[in-house]
Amino acid sequence: MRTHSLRLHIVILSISAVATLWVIATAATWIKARHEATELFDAHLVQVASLLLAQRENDHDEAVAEDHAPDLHRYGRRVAFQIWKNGQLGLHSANAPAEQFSATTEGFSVTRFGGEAWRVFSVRDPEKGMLIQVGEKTTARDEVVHSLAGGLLAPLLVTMPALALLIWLTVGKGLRPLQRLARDVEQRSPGNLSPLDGRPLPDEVVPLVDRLNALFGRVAASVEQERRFTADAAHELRTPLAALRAQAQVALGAGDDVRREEALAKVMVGCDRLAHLVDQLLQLARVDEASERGFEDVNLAEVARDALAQHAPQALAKNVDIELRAGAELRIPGNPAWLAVLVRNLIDNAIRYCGSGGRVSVGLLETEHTLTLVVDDDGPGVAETQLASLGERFWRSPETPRNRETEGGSGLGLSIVRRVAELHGGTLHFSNLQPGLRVEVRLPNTRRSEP
Amino acid sequence: MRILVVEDDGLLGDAIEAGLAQCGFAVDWVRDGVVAAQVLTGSGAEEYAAVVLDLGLPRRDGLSVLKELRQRGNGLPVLILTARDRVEDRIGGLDQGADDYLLKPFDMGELAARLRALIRRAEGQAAPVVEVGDICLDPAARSVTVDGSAVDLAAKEFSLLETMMLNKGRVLSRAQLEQQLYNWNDETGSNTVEVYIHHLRRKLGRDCIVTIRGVGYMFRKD
Repeated sequence: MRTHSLRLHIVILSISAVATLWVIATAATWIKARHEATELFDAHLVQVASLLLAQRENDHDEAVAEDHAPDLHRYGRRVAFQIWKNGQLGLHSANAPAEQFSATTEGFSVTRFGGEAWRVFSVRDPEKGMLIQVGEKTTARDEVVHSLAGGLLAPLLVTMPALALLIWLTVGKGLRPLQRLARDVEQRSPGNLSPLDGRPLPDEVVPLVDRLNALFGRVAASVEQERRFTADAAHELRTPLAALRAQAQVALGAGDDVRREEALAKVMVGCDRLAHLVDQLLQLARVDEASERGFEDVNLAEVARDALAQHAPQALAKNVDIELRAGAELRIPGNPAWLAVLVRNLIDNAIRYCGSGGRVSVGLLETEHTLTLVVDDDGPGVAETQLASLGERFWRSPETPRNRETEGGSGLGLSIVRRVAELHGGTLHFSNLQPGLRVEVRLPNTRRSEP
Repeated sequence: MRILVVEDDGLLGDAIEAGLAQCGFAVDWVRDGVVAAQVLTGSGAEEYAAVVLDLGLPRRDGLSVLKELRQRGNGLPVLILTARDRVEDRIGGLDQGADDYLLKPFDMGELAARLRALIRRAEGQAAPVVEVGDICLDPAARSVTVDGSAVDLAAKEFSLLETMMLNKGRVLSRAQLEQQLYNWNDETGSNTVEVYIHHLRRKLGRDCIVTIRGVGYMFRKD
């Protein structure tokens, strides 16, 4: 038996509920009927006794000894009476016993006689020395009550199976859209993430389908992003790989040692470039998965100082002037390793794109709600129409001619910066200076707003 | 054979330049779409036997350069060399007028062979080996035989002979021949073509190359 069948569950529950209610109703009816029947039959006994008493008064001591009243009704045999006068049994019904019915001489009592229970009503007339006892088998009233209760229970036995079948079919029909949905989902290929369409649907199922469709949408978007990333990555790896292979072939085919060594040196450069690209790809993949779990108290000013110090040789070699404008301390909750990557990438970009003799300035500003890291260079900037494209994966400015400086760029640096900023609840903004490019990372100032 | 290479990646462009030079081509290398279009505009295009074109170029996309070239009715053989590997890209490239499509990374030997095939086809020569009379030139092996016996030629002599044999029966000016022999970086003397013609006549026989005074030279059609 499938204990988790909703259908069976509903059928069992409904049938049990109906049966229980019915039985309770029957029991209540039975109790009530019994009460009413008792009153009715008792009233009847009292009435008969009164009649007999009145009758006897009119008869004026007429001796009707050993007289037997005839049976007139099928219930007649169940009723018996005795009229005693001064201790002598007078008129009595044929089925009445020879002895006094009941020892009780006033009101109702129950006695046994002839192997059956009788309810007896006694009335006395002390003045005339009369005692009238009218008895009735209790089975009579029991029969009435039982037949009443039986009449209520009998339809239950007939209607229960019919009701069960009806509920079973109705629930089955109600569940059909669910089965249809299940079939739809089952027949899907893993790549099919289009929304489910099982309409018309019961109102109760619509939220489930809506939520499922929303989930499908999110999964599809994430799969698409993953697919694009893989395609982009494969595409971006092709050119450096081609360069590596081509330079290696040039080395193999070189006619003299000088040319061979030149080509081999370029093979090394190509290897370094590929390694850098792979590093950046991995970094991007990791920052996509990073969470706030590893957050700690980070001094952003110190991170910026360290990053600038690391890039000083690169700047010096290119005769680029670098400076930091920041206080000693600016603390935010964050991941120190990722924040260092963010600052380093921005400084590296700035030095790369500003010309020899240029200037790179890194600043940290604090306002009530925002901490802003500003990195300025005095390079060529980016065309206004292309500012929006900055930070897209693998995007490199089509305006910037390729040269040794710009070539090492993987097109991923700003994507990583953007993701790290987003990880810290921040945003990335670009604007052109006259001349140069300004990159701003705006992070929420949680320190200030907390207290 | 002079080839224009349009490739924005420094390391790769440098390798193609060196690699194709090893295969006997004279190579000019440009790094963006705008410069490529300028070089290919007008008379400049005639200097080249073929173009190796990257698609993802700075400033101007390779496909638009190709489209413009074809719109001017220029049938210069163009080989697209790109990282774009989708079938739609390949179809698009070929339909825009490319003659061949090679995916990165590639083999230098294959690139050279495809270029030779494109040039051969463009010049109406079906067989890979060019034969005129008893002179037989194999561009792939870079060997020349006369009547079955091998002749030793210097690289420039070979290129000159190849150009002339592919254009047999047509008069080529000294300037045209120079363009096929040298790239932008080569120093050209005023009478170097004459010197090579002289060497070729000595090695292959006086009669194979005819001088048309005041016009140029022609390889005898036989």
